[in-house]
Amino acid sequence: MDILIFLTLLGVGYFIGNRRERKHYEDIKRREKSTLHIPIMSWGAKQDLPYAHEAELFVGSVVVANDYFKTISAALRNLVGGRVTVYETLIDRGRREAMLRMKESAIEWGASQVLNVRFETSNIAGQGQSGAGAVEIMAYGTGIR
Amino acid sequence: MKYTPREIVDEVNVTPVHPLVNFGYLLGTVAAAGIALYVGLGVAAAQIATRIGPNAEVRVGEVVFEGLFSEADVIQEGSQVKYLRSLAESLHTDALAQRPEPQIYILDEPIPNAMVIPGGHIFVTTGLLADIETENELAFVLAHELGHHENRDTLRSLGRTLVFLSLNSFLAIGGVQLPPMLTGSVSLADLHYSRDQEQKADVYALEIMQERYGHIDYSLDFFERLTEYELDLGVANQLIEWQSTHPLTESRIEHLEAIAVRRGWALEGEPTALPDQ
Repeated sequence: MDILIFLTLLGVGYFIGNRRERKHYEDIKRREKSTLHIPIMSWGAKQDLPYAHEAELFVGSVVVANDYFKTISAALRNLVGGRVTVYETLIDRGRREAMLRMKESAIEWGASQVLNVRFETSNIAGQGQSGAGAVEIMAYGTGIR
Repeated sequence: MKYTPREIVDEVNVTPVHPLVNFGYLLGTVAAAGIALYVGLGVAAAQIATRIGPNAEVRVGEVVFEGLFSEADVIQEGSQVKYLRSLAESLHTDALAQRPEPQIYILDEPIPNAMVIPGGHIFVTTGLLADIETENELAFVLAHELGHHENRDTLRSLGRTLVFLSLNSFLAIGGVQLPPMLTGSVSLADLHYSRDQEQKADVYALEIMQERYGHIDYSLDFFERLTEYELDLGVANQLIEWQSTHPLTESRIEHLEAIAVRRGWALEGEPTALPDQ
């Protein structure tokens, strides 16, 4: 009985999780193409920033949840060590989505460029025994116009 | 500098591995390691069971004793225990001298049963003592358990737990304590033997009976009575308990009688009475 529940959860995690991931990547790639015209630039501390009439902080943040299949894969990976490839896509999606949200809000405001973008990542939920968790990724930068 | 937007097409941050392939590889690796460990432990346990020294066995026996009987009513004093001890001592063979000294206890338990654990601790229940009619029966039961002890069946029946128990007794000298999860809890159900081991112990006991009494009559009576109980549903539960530690069939008795006939042992003789208590 326990093994049946386990396999069901694993199946749900794999099929639904995979499907959502695919859809999300399609969406990300489409939106990245449409926001490509706004450059993201980073400047050093002592460099002069480009001239701007107005500047504003833009924040894009996203919380991506783990699925059961990934949890089990990662738990097994924990035993043998090595790259946790199943989490790579999770983090990658999170970073790109956060960046897109920030960029999209900057475009809406009318930004010509976004300067000095930074990322922050934090774990939320699932710190205990359950293992199933989520990751929050936040991207912020200064939009100028 | 003019900014020309260019699409990034290569995914450097995502390893191109199918999640199922990755999962399969991980599961395979872990399963293979698990099987290797299981088989390795089995081999190690078999080696330890045949080679363990008397001192280490005594220490293993103490752990098992604590785990099994720390809360049971164990009788260690009194005339019955004295009688049992002297009877068991008279049954010792020369080969038994190489093994840890057997010790006899009475367990306050209405279900007739007898068992032996590593270290040579032999338990006889009060239920069994009440059921016994002649000394021959009792001697046979004791000799049977001594047979298990001498053949190291008690150690073998611990199986893979034995590896951790002996490791524990070895490390305890250095003050290292293994987590209790590893040493495991031994239960009575673990103390079962294969048909072959039972038969060996039976033949061993029967040989002692022939030597001591000059015949094997009455020795198997207790076993025969137990098979008759099988028809009586009222004691079915007791029997399940008994059979979990002593698988007993008609064929087992027949087999023993065939051996007795082959070796020319006397099948008829006078019973030896139990002492008055």
